[in-house]
Amino acid sequence: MMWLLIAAELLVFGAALLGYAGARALDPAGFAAAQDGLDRLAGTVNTAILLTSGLFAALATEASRRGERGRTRLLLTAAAMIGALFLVVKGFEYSAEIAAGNGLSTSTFHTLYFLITGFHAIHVIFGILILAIVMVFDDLEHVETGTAFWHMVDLIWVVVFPCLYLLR
Amino acid sequence: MPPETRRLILTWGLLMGLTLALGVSGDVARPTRLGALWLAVIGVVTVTKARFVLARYLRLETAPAFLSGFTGSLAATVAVIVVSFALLHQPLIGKVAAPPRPAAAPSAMK
Repeated sequence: MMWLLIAAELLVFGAALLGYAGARALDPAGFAAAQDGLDRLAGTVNTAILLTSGLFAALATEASRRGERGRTRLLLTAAAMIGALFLVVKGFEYSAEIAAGNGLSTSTFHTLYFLITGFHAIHVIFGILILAIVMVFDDLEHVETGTAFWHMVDLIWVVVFPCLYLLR
Repeated sequence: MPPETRRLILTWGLLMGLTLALGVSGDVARPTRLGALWLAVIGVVTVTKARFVLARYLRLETAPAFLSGFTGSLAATVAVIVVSFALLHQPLIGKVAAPPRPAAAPSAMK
């Protein structure tokens, strides 16, 4: 069931990114100028943050396989806390964009940027909630399912970040 | 340290290295325009990172058909995006400075 969800989510974000490429084809200069306003360094830091959080989630699954419940919970807590750091950095990024006068309706680029990254941020929030739930219901099956969702969030960002921030 | 733990930490190190490579090839500190070659490098590094996440974090290395399917779909998506960018692009190989941003329109005078 989780793999169906992962496939569906990848399809949704894939379609959004293809739509982004299509819109960019209509106005490459406008998109490139708008992209220059993004904080690419913050995006890179956020990639490192999510991948590190993913490591702790994967280690939690391993600990759960070995039956180490305390260690599993500790590693899931670390994964969730590092994941929350992603939202803090994203919050600073959004604040800077809004302070610069950029919002959902500023340009086609900004509409797509806020929709795609905002939708991903909502997945991060859900992912943290799911990690918190499997900290309580911590049998192996639940931990595997919860961390699979978290890795999906990770995977989506691995593809979204270069497409929105770096390709120009 | 259990071998699987060591393997996961090694994977994380590789992913961090690839993230750094992506930052350098994507010229994160400067508003440059990237050539088609750099776009291709970014595409390849992105798909490599995605494959590592699928294979090691999501343990799809135990299901090679699924790993190929997911990686292939992601690679196709990234390839379409990279090619669309490269076709509508200025430089071929290097990195060139972005054109200066236009000044804001002056406010109406009384």
